[in-house]
Amino acid sequence: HTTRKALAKEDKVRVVFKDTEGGSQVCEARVGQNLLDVAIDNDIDLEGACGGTLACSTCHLIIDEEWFKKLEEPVDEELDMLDLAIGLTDTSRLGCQIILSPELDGIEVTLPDEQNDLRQF
Amino acid sequence: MAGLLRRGARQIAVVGGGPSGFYTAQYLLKYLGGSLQQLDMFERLPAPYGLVRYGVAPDHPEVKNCIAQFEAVAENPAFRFFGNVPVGDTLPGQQSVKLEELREAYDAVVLSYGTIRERRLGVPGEDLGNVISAREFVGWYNGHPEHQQLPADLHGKNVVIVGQGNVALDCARMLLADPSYLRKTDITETALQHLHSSGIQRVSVVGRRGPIEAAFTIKELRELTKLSGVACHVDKHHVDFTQDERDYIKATRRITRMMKLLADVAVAPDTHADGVKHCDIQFFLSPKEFRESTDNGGRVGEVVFNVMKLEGDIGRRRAVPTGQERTLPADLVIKSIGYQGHSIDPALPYDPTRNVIRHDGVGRVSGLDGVYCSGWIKNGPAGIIATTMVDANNTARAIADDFSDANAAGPTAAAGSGDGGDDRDDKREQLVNRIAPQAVSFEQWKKLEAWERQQGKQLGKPAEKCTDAEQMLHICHNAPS
Ligand SMILES: Cc1cc2nc3c(=O)[nH]c(=O)nc-3n(C[C@H](O)[C@H](O)[C@H](O)COP(=O)(O)OP(=O)(O)OC[C@H]3O[C@@H](n4cnc5c(N)ncnc54)[C@H](O)[C@@H]3O)c2cc1C
Ligand code: FES
Repeated sequence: HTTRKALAKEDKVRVVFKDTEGGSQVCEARVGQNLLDVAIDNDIDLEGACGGTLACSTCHLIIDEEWFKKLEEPVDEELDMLDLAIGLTDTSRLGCQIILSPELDGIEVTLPDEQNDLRQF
Repeated sequence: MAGLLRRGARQIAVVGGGPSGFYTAQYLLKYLGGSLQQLDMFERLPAPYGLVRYGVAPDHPEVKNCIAQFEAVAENPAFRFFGNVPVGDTLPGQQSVKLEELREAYDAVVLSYGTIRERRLGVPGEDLGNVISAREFVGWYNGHPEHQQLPADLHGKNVVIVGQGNVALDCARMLLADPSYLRKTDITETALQHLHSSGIQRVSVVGRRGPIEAAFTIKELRELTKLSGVACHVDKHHVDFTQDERDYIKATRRITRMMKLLADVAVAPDTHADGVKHCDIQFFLSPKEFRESTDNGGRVGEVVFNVMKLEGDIGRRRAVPTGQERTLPADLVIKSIGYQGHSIDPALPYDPTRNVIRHDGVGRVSGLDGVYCSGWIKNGPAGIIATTMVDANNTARAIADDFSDANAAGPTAAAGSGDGGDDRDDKREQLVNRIAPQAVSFEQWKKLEAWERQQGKQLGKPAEKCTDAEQMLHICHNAPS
């Protein structure tokens, strides 16, 4: 708990990116950053084709249940784009729309495994 | 020594400079790293980006942000762009490089040339004046050099758009939006002027099947319903679902949200407000005949539709005629029934019914070693940029896998790939030298882009596209850098 407090003080938070094969990477990020930017800064395989302007869905992430509940409700426009995301789940969100707050320190998110869904297209 | 250096080094040609070409290139650079010695992209037009430049609507600039990523690809030292260099047969007289030549000069060839032709409806009257395709219309407002002579007049009141995909909604929005809204986009000045003086009052977006089957997506539909000065309508009866339909709708979030939005805009058919323009989303109508106008000979005046009903399991329902007909007035018809692929070389295993190149499911072209495909020409003309990106990743992975298998099998097995030798290098050099006078490099394209931005600045818009192919080339080749 002390580390968590210390991190929050410096406006630093941690984000855990996971893949569907059990791999994970813990990244340090700043409060106010969005998850797409954090991914890009840390060379995580997440694309932001529209530059975070809610016009693609390439930044699709699956949020761990307990963290999903802590997020602010998505706006209609995000839900509209999410509807087109490949491999949509009940806890899917667009990475560029999730802004880190101190409460989200330690948030765990999974990169969707797009390869498996390809045959649908 | 030269042989040693070359071992494992690869050269790849990409045909087509749209999203699929650029994303495939991006992933190839990522997977092959330094062993990718040369990555050459051949594009038919002087300008890159395919449908991102000539398809995506001008009022969707955010969608075009993917260009930043493509520019990063172009900066890679292994990458070369050869614009104005068509490969194979696309238009008569346009061929400048043969597929066979590319196969001889590169270890792998990726076909990413999209689907640039159009489908026909096969309905009487299709060739009447003012019956045009969405492809022509979209190309026109986006400044495509081959679509600047719009074979249509926009002075009439009623427009029928046949088809209910996102492209149909783009067309409807362009026709109905207030020109002051479009003024700040990179729509061409010519298109803006014509739209400004158009007499269009009502646009009907017509589909054969029902709301559940409509191909448009909710974002585009929502946008249309929010367009200022435009009232959007859906027939109330069409969103009055049966219990079975309601169960089906409930099961999929995408459809649930879409049906709710449609129900929100549904009004009784006769309550259309005055003082605004109208957009009618009409279901269960299949065009039967385009009829000539009585006072405008040679041009369309109305469309006769078969009223349809649906048969089969929900999710896979077919539309069949009920025997009833309906007629809608139409001074202009836009057919938005999809783009169509074509084969650029007789050696390609082209599937004429599905209109795609045959491949192994991942992107290895059937029966042609070292030839791959990605994007719309691989999967058919559907899917957004995100889909195209994921698909390009698969193709790039297949290429990387094949290369590493060949490397593992050793230099003999890899003969003709990787250790291809001087012959391949010579052929590539000859090819590049031959096309050099006509080709547009990426730096030269950037001059055109700068010119377009400059022109746009004077008009208070992000860019004013150059729409004349010769002028485009002139600027690319002659403007000072
Ligand atoms: C009207 C319209 C609007 C769209 N709007 C959106 C949107 O808002 N958001 C979204 O996500 N997606 C949108 N899309 C979908 C998106 O454009 C496609 O997913 C994507 O462009 C497909 O990429 P592609 O590279 O396969 O084909 P294309 O983009 O068509 O690229 C193919 C390229 O190959 C070139 N070429 C063709 N023949 C040859 C040849 N013989 N030799 C060399 N080069 C050749 C073409 O000139 C072109 O540059 C839209 C599509 C259309 C048609
Ligand atoms: S980056 Fe396009 S929606 Fe997030």
